[in-house]
Amino acid sequence: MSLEATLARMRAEAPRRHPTWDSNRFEAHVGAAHEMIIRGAPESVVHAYLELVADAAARPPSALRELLLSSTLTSATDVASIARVHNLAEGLERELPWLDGFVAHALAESELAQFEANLVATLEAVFDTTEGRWGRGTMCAMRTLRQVDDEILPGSLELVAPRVLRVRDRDDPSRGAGVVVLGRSDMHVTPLPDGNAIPAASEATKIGDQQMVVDGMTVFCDGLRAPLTSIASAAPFVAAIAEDSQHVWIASPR
Amino acid sequence: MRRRVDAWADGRASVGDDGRLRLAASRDGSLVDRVRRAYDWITTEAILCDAPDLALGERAVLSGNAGTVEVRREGGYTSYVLLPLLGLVTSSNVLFVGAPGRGKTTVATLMGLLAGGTLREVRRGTQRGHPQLTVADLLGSPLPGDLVRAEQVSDIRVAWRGWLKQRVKIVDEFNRLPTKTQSALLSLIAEGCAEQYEQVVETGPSAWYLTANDDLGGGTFQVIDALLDRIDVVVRAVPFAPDNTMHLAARVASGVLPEERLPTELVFDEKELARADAEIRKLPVEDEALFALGTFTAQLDFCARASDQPQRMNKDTLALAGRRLAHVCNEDCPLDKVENVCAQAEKGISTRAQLSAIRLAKAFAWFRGAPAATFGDLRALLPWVLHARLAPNLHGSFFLESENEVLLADRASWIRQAFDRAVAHARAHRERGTPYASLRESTAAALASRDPVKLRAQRRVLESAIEACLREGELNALVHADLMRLRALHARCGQGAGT
Repeated sequence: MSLEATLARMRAEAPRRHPTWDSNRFEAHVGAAHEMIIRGAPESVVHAYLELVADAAARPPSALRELLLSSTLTSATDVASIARVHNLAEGLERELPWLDGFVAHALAESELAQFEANLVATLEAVFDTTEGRWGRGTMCAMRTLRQVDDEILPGSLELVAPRVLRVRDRDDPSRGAGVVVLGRSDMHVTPLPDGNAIPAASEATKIGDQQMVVDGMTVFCDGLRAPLTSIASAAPFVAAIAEDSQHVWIASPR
Repeated sequence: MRRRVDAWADGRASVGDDGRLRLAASRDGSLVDRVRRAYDWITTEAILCDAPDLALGERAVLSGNAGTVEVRREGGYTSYVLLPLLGLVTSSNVLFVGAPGRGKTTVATLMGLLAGGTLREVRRGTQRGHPQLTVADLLGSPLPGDLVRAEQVSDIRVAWRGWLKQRVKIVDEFNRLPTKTQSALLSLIAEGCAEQYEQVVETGPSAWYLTANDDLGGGTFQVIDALLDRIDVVVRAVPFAPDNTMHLAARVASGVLPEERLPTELVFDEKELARADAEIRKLPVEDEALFALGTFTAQLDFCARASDQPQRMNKDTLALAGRRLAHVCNEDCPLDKVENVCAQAEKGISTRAQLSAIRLAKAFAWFRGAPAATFGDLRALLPWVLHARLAPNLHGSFFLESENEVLLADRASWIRQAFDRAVAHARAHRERGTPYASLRESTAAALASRDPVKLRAQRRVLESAIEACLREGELNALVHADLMRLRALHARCGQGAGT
């Protein structure tokens, strides 16, 4: 079946299969299918790619799916790898939807052949449970939660994993934003809805206006003002929020 | 983490024998999400009705020279689409009423498709009521060869009609069925089975969709009361909105009916429907909703003039004596016929109706994502649950008032005002305070003690409370309910003393 015939069939059938099919999102990827044909991709691969495009056009937008359809999958040469990568992305979307943006960012440069290995490595880094050490230096970073939720007002802190911090809204505790803390400069703010929490670490800290004293070291935290709430993680890091501020301050080893 | 990612690999996408990608239908999202998507799709793509008559939240009354319009701040839903959907997930019996051509059969057919039937199966399974439809036409016929050879009735096999096993059962114009066929239909709906020649067929869990072209089911044959009482909810067809003619023009141009393009992702299988039903049943009901349903039922059922004995002061007593409410509900009854809703309804409502109301209120709360069924859920649904079951006392003085006459034409509004009136009356009575709760506790304590002296003392306390009730001035439904409760406690004290 020619590409045009496949497209015509999909344009007719997809709205019947999917109640929320968005034809604009489908058409946005048709050009990539033409380029695959020009590059000599087998017809079955282009057909598989278009099936996934039509399916994605019926679902809420996802950063990882968008990444796959705009770049990763366009270099595919066999249907099996397309099917496998799609299933992995959908599994992540189903079980860890809040990591969608973070994983898409982390795997933006991933070739199709390395996609799975990089996905596993990224998730292992996020859910690493080994305890870290404070070492000799400490620094404080500030992140704003406004980038994922314009109206959130931090009320409480908890840990989803040693490297994942959840900040709950003070008026609506079911509303939350998260910060994935992989290193002093590797922190990612993400939407993070309700879910289970793990116990905090028992780090001895003193926190006050503009500073935290962590592991005996005083760290300057620009803008931090009492009254505030803090939590320690074994990752290690110490996070603090202040009243009426959408920022979160995170002290971690330098 | 590696193991978790490996598990994801076994997903919807696979490679077929022909080397092509196979993408199974998505089952993402919760069941209630799918029901919501089905509701959205039907109201925007299929039925195109924009009449949100199931409204919740704070009330605002907007008025002008032309009249008043009530709006609810939480918005609303279209009962014409939502109630059939809730009927599907709760395996309820739904009756569509309304003029021909308003989409009653289309909505019923869409429910059949949502339950997994093909359009061909659903259409072939739809029973069309007419005066010559026999029980055999409805259920199936004995095999002719068996009729000749059989030596006993049990040897005769019956070729049951295929529609009996469908999850969604549609009977169009059921009020045109002859009485005998209606009785067979009643057995199917009530007991989930039918019998012919000593052979029994079980229908399994079913959602029934009956249609009738007028409000009361009074078609060619009178609909039997027992069948009407099995109707869990009545759905009234709404007219198309004037702005929807462009959609109709598009439909004519495409030549494709909504039933022919229902998205396959919205379809449920048997297990999913059973799971949705279980989720709904688990939902709690707020106390205020149960209080309102209880008092409304009690007030409708009460008739001070049915007997001189309080325990028989109900409309069943009248019905058993072959008397109508109008025979006794007159100036000889001292109760105010506007304040007391007992004067408005010919009969009370059955326990089955209360069960329907509770189940559908839970389903509505589930659909809305609420943690419990509320008073608002019940209030919104009750007119449709009682629509076929509650008949007005046409000769009552309430309906002789000119401002109430219109309620005879609009049964849903009549039931809702009666409910509001009954609840307001009961809340005022409750605020005045009744000693029932403390008396129930002290009676339980006396019963637990098994001490004849304490039981005698408790009986005297209860007798005083009964006398206090009787001194209230008028024996209305609420005082009567208090009396009945106190009387029951008194009887238990007597039984306790005897053991």
